Amino acid sequence: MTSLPAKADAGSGDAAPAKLSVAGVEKRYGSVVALAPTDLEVRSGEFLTLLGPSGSGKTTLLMTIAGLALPDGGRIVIDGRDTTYTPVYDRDIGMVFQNYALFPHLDIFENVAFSLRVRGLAEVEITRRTHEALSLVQLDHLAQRFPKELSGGQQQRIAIARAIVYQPSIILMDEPLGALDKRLREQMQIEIKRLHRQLGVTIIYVTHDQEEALSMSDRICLMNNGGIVQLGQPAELYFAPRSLFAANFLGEANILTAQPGPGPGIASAAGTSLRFDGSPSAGGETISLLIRPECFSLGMGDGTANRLSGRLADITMLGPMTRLDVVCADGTVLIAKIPTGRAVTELVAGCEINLNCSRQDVILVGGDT
Amino acid sequence: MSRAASTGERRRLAEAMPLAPALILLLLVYVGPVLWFLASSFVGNDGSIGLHNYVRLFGSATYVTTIGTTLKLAGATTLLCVLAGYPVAYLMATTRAGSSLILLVVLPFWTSYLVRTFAWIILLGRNGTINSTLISLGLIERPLELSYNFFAVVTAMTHAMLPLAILTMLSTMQNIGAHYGRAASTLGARGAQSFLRVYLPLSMPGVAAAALMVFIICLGFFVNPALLGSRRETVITQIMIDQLSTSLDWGFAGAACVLMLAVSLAIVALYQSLFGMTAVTGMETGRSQSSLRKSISRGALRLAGGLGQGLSGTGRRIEAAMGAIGLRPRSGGLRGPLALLVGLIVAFLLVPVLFLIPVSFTTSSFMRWPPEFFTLRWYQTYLLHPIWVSAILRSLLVGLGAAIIATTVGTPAAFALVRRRVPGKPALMSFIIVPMILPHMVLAIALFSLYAQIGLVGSAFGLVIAHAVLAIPLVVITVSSVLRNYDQRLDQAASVMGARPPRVFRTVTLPLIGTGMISAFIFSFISSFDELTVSLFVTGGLTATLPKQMWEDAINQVSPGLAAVSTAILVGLTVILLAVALYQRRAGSTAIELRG
Repeated sequence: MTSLPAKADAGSGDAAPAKLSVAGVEKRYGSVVALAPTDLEVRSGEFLTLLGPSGSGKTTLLMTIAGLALPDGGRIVIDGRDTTYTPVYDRDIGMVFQNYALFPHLDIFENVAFSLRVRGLAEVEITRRTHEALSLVQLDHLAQRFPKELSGGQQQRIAIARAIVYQPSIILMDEPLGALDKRLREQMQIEIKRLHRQLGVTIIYVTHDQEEALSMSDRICLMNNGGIVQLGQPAELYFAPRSLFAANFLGEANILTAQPGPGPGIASAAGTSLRFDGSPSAGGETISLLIRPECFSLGMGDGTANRLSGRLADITMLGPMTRLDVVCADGTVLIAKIPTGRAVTELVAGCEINLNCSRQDVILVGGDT
Repeated sequence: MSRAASTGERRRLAEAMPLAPALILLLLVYVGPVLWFLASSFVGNDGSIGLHNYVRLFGSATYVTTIGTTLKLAGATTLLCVLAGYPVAYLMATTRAGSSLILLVVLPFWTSYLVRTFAWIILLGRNGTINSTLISLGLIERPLELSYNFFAVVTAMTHAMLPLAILTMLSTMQNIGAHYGRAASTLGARGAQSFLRVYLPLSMPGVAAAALMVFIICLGFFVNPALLGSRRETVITQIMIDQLSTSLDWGFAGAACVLMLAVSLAIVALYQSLFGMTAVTGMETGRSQSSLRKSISRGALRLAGGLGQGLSGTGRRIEAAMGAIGLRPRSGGLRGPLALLVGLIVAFLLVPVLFLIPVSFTTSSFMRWPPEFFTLRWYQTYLLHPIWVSAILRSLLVGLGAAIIATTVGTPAAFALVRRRVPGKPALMSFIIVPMILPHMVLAIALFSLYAQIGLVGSAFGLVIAHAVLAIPLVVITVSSVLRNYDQRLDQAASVMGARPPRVFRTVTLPLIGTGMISAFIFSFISSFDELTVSLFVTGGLTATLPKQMWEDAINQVSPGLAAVSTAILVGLTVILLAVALYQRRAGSTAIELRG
């Protein structure tokens, strides 16, 4: 396991100026709190993902940044300019909508050129920049087509071209890949990352897909119930979740309820004694320990590792990994993912097995690491 | 009141502002005159206040019989329309081939009522098509009495109202997904059972909406009873016209109007408590079901279920019997007979009108069959005659004026109803469609009484305003149905890219809802062009619109000249409608199917 990167909280110690700063922004609909007072800073050139289940407030936050919904309180500052109540059309923001929202009555060229025409650019300039943007998404040859004549993936790329053509300071993307199938989605993820690197723009990206968030983001802003749960780099959220929600939402998780002691860094769970890094906050009677399924290995271990034993209840081959469902003596169910290989294929359901994991792989949820 | 609350209220008022012109027009030209006129029904001839007029209305056996006749005609027509319309709407909603029938239903829907009535006069008359054909075939010796009876009136009324019934039911059926039927069959329901347990109950709101619209409109019908009925088929509106034209007896006409309104409103109220107005207005109210509605729909479901059980039992027995004699039932075997039935009904809708065309070229001086060809005399003497020319021009101008007013007033109202947060939306929507649902006769007499006092009788302006009020519901319904399918993210996308609201509207919203607005404009124009009842009163005795001129000509005698005028109208409307249909197909919208 690689060691964890140094803690990198919102922009601290980084020279890059804040592109966007959200301070105390909140939004209510009647008595429903869609977004509790929220603070967020996004650095220039950063790829930040707003991740969360539906109803978590991520889209509401995006809409207030875009100016499509007015906040009930707080301030939104873009490039040092207070834009809290600036009309949408004066914000200099690019946006890719969930279902693309390409204008059905305009052809691809006119869709992309729209923002340039609105800004009253010269015809030569409009033509040049539109073709440039279309070339960036490799669809310049489709300029004369209409949106409905394009496939979903092509429409998606046009929507991106339309959002970048006028070089806005921030690009917002609202679940842009939600309507595509898995293969196309992965392809588009790579494409968007490429554009991000190439153009150096700031992107705020909304998704409920944790894999997408993990693979694309510089930082992830995890949201739930109208507020930010945790903000940090993907590895930080994955290996140092501050809450059970965060632990469960990103990736698969074995969460063990454990009694601390005897001594620091030791707790008993699943019928055995586990060693872990970090120390629980004082006074807690039970603590939650997280072990990722892929952190387990089979066999006797080197003696310094934690060892959990149980009966193999189910074995499922997933491709490169094989999933083992193990029931410990006290009834705790553990999920392990082991690289598929001879050692694994020899296992049969019902046999007793040992699962090993190192001290660093047992993570105290909500503790300091 | 706190300041925040008052600004909140001010904001809500501002949100509702686009509705104001439509509401003000409705209040001034519809609600106000109608209420004022209805109040006059409580004033007797001698100026005393009381129920004299009602005593007269219900005291005379003639009038009571007339009321009975009106209800009987409306009831019979409604029943026939629902029975004949259901299979057509069903086929159109459930099969691809069926959906191509839509234009064949829409065409007669927009064809003038008067024209279609003339067609029946030609078909059913003593020397009409049917009689002369039968005689020339030697099947009968003396002509049958096909017209001037209950049968003729109901046939023509059914013919007139069937397209409305079909389109109303269709709009409900199109929202019943095919997956319900598939789900029902995976759960073990056979064809008939799945239809009766799932489809029929789901389509009931549409059936009820169709029945509601047809029945209420029939209450105000007088063209068919007057031209195709005998004395025994006299309806209440004829009495009202008589009373007004012979004695200017306002109080009595008012009492008859109150009665008509009371029946209409009672039916609307019953319908609303059962189904809500969704199927009529196309607007989701989001209201929970009333308990009455729940208990009735549960009862209906049980009844339908029982029927399904019984029928599927029969079906199984028939299947077994067929299996025993070596016949295998073909799946979807009902489609053939259904398609045949629907074909016959659609032919009933389309064919009668076609008989007008040859008659318009006949050389004889009255409508006879077979026509003796060939002359353009009728086109020359009618269409080129100054009276007819001025009537046609007036109808065109009034139609254009009414359509312009209705579209400019109705479009913002539709925007407010769909997009804004306006309190009491369902009530407002119901209010706006009142002129469409209640018999035109009510407005006709009320406006006549108002215009008589302020000197607007006979003015084109008065007629334009009246027709505009009648067309506003069409515009609101058409435009809001387009708006509801409009993805507002398109507007958001435009404004994110820097377009200010006026530019967003001009470059994105307007081009996309333009088809809907053009359709609304054309529907308004046609509805005005075809309108007889209000024109009959409001124009006074002097000036005539085209329908009024045709009506007055027809009361004297139905001549081939009317067939010529009808043919001209038919061709004109067909061209307009086909152009709209083509335009909409290209623009990918189907607003032409959405009226009522």
